[in-house]
Amino acid sequence: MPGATSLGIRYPFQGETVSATSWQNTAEDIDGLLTQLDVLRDLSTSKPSASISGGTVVTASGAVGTLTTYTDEDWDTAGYADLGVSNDRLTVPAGIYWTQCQTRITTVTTVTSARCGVLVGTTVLWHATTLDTVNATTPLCNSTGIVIATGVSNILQVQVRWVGTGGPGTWVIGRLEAYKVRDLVDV
Amino acid sequence: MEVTDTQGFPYPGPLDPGNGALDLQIFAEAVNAKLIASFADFRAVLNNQVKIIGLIANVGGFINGIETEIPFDNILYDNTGSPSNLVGFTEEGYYRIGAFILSNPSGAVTVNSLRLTRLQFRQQLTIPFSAVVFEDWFTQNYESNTGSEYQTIEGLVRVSSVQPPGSFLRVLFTSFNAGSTTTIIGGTNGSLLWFYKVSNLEVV
Repeated sequence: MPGATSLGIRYPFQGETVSATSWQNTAEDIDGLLTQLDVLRDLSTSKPSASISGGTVVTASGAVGTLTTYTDEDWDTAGYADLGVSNDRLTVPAGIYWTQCQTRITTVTTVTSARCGVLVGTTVLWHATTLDTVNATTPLCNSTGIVIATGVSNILQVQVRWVGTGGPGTWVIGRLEAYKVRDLVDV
Repeated sequence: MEVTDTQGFPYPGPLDPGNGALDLQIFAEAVNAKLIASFADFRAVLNNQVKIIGLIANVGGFINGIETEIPFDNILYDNTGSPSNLVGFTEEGYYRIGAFILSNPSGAVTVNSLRLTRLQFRQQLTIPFSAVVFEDWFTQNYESNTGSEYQTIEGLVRVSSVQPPGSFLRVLFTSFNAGSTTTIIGGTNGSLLWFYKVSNLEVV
């Protein structure tokens, strides 16, 4: 019976014959552990993130939160975006994410407030923004924040709404980004 | 017994007595030790410290012009091992910090009155002994007579000491709404305070 290290690398006890099998066992165990280590290395050196942008959406003043849509995939290191199937979202696995959204409201006369916020599933996280826009008719909204995504698959979207006169408002230069901070449970 | 130049893995030298079993065991244990350290390093990156804390319920009574700390009390995620309601750091390193504050007047609104949120990092250093460092990030909104105000504030801090009394975060809020007091909204979708570790202080 061979001995083994704490990680399970087998070796022959003293007195045992060192055979080709002894070497193979040790080598195979080291190989398996290095393969596990490769997985951790890849995860730790390339944290998943994605960014989608472009697109427009038109809304009236006071309308309920409206989802924005996107036309461009700026980058996507983990398969979060599939604009050909759903052009309004990133779909992410369970984890903790830092997110950012931005957009600008145009084609209105006056703006009292304008907001964009990340929506996780059916939960709206208005992670900003109410702007004082007394003297502006094209305010830029930007919202950042932390998100706990608990489902196996979670949809991140952006809702916008504004209050003012004129319009309908056209939301432009939209962007949604997500960066995975960590998994919910330790690896 | 000889060792390799960089990683120090042992191997028998030309004059060592032949003991294949022992040689292989020593080699396996040396590799084992190196792997344990490597697993720990990568897991430290992937299992980085995160704390996210909210408010169980709304907190009312913020008086015009009086800066008051927001009493975050609802742990939403925490792997730091710090006391439950203390937004304290237990590992040195660089951290992203942030807060989301949702506030609403309890009654009458003073149009275009200011809402000021201050995210404060407090750190007590050991060198120089007991030096206290405060860093502050501010954000302000002007209530535009539409009710709720949404404020996000973020920063990056270097946590150089976690020795008692430690390093921690807090959020101070000031409303200049004269028409009524202001309430900080808690519960689901309510206000949040968070930090997450992005790096060790030095290269490991």
